[in-house]
Amino acid sequence: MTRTVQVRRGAYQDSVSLMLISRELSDRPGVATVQVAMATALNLDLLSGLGFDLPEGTSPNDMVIAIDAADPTAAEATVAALDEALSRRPATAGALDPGAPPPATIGAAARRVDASFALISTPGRTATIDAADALAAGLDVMIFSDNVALAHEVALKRWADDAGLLVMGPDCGTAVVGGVGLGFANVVRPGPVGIVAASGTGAQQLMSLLDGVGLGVTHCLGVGGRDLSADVGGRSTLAAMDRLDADADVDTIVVISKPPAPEVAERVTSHARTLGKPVVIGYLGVGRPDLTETARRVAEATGTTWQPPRRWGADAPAPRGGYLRGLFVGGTLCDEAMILAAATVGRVASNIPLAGQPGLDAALTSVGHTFIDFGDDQLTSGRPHPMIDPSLRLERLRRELADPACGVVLLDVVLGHGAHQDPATDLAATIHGSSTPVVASLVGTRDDPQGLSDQAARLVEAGAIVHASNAAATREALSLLEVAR
Amino acid sequence: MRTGTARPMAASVLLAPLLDGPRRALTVAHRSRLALQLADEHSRVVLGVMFPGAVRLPFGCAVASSPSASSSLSVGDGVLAWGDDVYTVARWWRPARPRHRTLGAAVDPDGVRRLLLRWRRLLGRGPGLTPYGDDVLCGALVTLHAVDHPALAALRAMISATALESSTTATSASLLRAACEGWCIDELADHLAAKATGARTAETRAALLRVGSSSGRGLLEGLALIAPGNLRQVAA
Amino acid sequence: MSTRQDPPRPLSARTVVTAGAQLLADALTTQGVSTVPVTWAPPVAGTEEALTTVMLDRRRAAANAEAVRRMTSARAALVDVRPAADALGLQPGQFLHAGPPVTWERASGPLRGALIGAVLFEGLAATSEEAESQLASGRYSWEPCHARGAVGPMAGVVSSSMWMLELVDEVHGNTSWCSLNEGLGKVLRYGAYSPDVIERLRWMTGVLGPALQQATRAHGPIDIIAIIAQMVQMGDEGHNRNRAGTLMLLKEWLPDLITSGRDPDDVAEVVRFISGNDHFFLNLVMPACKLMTVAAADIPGSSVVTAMARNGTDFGIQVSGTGDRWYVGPAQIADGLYLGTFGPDDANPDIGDSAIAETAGIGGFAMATAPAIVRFVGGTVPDALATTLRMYDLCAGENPGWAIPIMEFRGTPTGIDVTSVLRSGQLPQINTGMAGKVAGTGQVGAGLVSPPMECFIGAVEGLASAAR
Repeated sequence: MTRTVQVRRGAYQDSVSLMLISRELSDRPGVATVQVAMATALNLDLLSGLGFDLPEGTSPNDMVIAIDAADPTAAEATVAALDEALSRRPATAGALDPGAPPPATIGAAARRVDASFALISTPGRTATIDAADALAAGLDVMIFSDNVALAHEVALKRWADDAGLLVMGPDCGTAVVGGVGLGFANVVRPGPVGIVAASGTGAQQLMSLLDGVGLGVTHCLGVGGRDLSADVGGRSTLAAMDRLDADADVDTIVVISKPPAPEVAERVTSHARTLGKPVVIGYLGVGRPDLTETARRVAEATGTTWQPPRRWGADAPAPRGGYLRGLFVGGTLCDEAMILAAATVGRVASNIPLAGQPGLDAALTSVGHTFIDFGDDQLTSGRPHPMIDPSLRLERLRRELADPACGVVLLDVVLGHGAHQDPATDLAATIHGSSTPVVASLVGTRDDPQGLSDQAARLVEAGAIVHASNAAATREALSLLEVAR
Repeated sequence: MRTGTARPMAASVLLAPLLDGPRRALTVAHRSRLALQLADEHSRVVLGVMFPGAVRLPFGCAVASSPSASSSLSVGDGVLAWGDDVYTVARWWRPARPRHRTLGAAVDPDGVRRLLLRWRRLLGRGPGLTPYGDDVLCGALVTLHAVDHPALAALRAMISATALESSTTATSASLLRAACEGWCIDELADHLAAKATGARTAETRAALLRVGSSSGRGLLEGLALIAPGNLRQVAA
Repeated sequence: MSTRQDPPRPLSARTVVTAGAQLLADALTTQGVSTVPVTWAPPVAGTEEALTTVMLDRRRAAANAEAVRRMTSARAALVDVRPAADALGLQPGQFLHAGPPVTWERASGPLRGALIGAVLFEGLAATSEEAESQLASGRYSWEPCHARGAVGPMAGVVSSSMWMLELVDEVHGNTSWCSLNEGLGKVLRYGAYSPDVIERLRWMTGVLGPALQQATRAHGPIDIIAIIAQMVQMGDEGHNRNRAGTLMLLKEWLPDLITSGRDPDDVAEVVRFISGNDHFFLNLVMPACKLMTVAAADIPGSSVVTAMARNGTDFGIQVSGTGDRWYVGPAQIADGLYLGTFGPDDANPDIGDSAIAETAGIGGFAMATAPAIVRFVGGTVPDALATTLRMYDLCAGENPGWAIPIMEFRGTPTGIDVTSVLRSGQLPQINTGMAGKVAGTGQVGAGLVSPPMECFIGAVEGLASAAR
């Protein structure tokens, strides 16, 4: 075998494109592994873990190419194929003159077309530059990027406040603006509900549950997980509430978030009183309503008949020994499940532990009842989100199913725009034939491109129990454990 | 089971009953470079397929490219099926339905009276896919709906009692039915909003005039028939 | 009405500008949303922090708009022609030069040659050797033209007896000056100082200057901004092509020259000299552009470039938000065509204040309007259009007064924003002449050149410190 490592200085490509290219090249004959990635610390660790010798002195702006091929010819051919793949220009649709080169900055783009919205997913350490450009150009902006400095978030939101603009994010993974899904978003029908969400997967669960009872959503405005902290002060939440209040298509406003700082909660509550529309506030936390209960209250507020969310699959098997292992791609779904689990089983370890609960070691070794959020920043730096690239979680699922200490696996499957086009198939193949029960929450709407019932059917066929409600899935998973009885 | 090539479309929420319902066969009622109008078994146009650059009709769905020619065409069970191509909804959008009660101050009672007397003579008058007279009527109906005018109910009753399909083109008949409920194209809604808020109307007017060969002009005439002044003049 | 009371504008993602992951833009395209993806690349390494500070400076957008407004509202009228001693108070032994400040030790061949020539011309030394040792000894002083509000092409050397064109911006109350253009070939501004060069300078001082002074005073102010507007529609980009501009200026002067009562032979020689030198008008474009850019100087928070100038060793820029502070980097060798048997080894790094043309939005920025010279600067017509289109993305605004016909009369790209340069990694394009690197050689070619990125890195750091 021939191992080749090349570094391209300053050759930037986004991590998703590189992942797609790596995958495409790995299918070439005579090639064992191809990894093309930006030289972030995490990616360098991964590569050296795969046994590649890496040169010193690379920066995250450099591209690393690592090839493990049968012979030098195959390696060379792979590099040539890579060059071709990198030089391919994406087909872009837009309102530009066909002859004009694409704009180089958001400000330049805004001068060319009549746009009112910018979507930024550039690396976190530079995303503020692009977001400020968007605000200066008078655009509302969604910042998908994570790892943006807190001080920058505050500065951007202060600016937006004064300019009457909205900053969604940073780390805003999910939004729906007038039916348009941005980032990880579900296909929803326009309706009377407007959502302000400090949590992406929380918003997706809520939209999916509302879709389940035929309730449409006009806007779902993500504000980023830190918006309701004392430092940021809920600036975007309040601005988003105002926007929804002014929107004639919205009748009912919903705010969902982890519990905010107390003074911020007070500010949100008193602001809600000044609005002309009913506001349902759903703060997730110990002793508070779960997302499914919030969905029920929203249905009630709009006069919609509530039905319990769907369950697919066989009857529950008999309770058994062992621990609960939760493998999540959605942080809020993971939190919600941990809160419910901790109330029943007490000690719950996690890489995003609840207050007073144990954390995990660097290798994320399971200890007792264990929950892992694969979407956590630490696991996504320099690589795609697990909703796009399921490999890390699949690998862990395999290990948990083989672990005699594991009694039940609980996991989430999130559908919609931006997500993997068929997450159930790989999961089903891994689950199939396992004696350990698997309970899944399936977050999606009837119109999602993956096909909600197809995905459910695939998981059920492999033996999983599937719930549309994450809370219901968690409760059923707990009921399968002897210790929880 | 879904078979064939899956393609995305952006569908008007007015199409939801059709898409969610059982499968029904459709036929092509009208074909142009930018759009196709599809009719049901009663020859009513129920769905417009719009290609990039087309004006967004209230009962339309936008697709990226023209489907391959095929005789089998149906809608229902969540899809628009066209031979081997299966279109599913990637985005739902709500067509424009302007509401500007403040614009009521600009309504000319004589204009409303003239419309109630003249509407039959406008119906189907003029050449093309949407006859000019129908465009005027649509502009007037949408304006009456926007200001919540009491005359709308009577006019709507008279129009729905008329065999529209035998008076005008099938596409225009469907647009008239939509206008009776206040649904319209974005360009008309944008112009009404600019008028109602006292904003600059030069751009919205120009955009409306670019619609069709004369449709935008017809809509504008219908609007002017009901609400000739703009709000700022009225307020002054 | 205050914006605070306005109802919030409706949320709309009908058209979305996207920066970053292609997958997210593709997901919008799938939904039938019109997207405008930007060709995002990481900003120049090491500038992220300073760029963030400058981009978060809320004064920037308005300050840049103001800079463009001032640039495009500036006027430039030729009001007089007179010696540098009168116009600028320059004393014998005091010299001006192009670009940022530079010492004799670091001065390039052409700048040294031009200074030697100026010493000889002023009669301060008898031989070039003597002049050189005087200059090296520190007997004389020199400073940038820009420091006096003047501009000079190539070496840009001005001495007290040289005659200067004097232009005034009545809107902003500024004055700028430039020397008289000597023509092509072996000339002082390219560092040549042979006897014929000095002889021509003497004729310019004795005949040309006084004749033009009389004609200008008789004529009254000549609107140079208006002539530039016309020349841009006649195939001149105002840096490497000034043919139409030169003829239009001559047309203004002619009646007053003819009726001046001067020796008809002298008048004929003056007319022959100007009409035989297509670049005569460059020396009017430059001070006109200086008047535009100086009007835009000193606006707190503005990241618009107000000067780009080279001394043959360093390339320097100034930025509105930090006044007359220079940000320098090494001057580059232009890429283009060489005269005769000259080649890249003969060329001196980039020199001259003439990049003030690009700073004000013409020259390389208006390349689309000058298809006649695209080959001279080593390109094609589509390249020329693409260049101007690219420059729009680096600029804070456009100049409707200078409209480019082939671009549907779109105004020239105006007001280079240093943040756009660093964020896109694209550098301003400058059309330029090339001087020989050995003192006394003269012009060796012409082509395209860009400033070194160091200038813009320095500028954004300067702006960031000013904003903190």
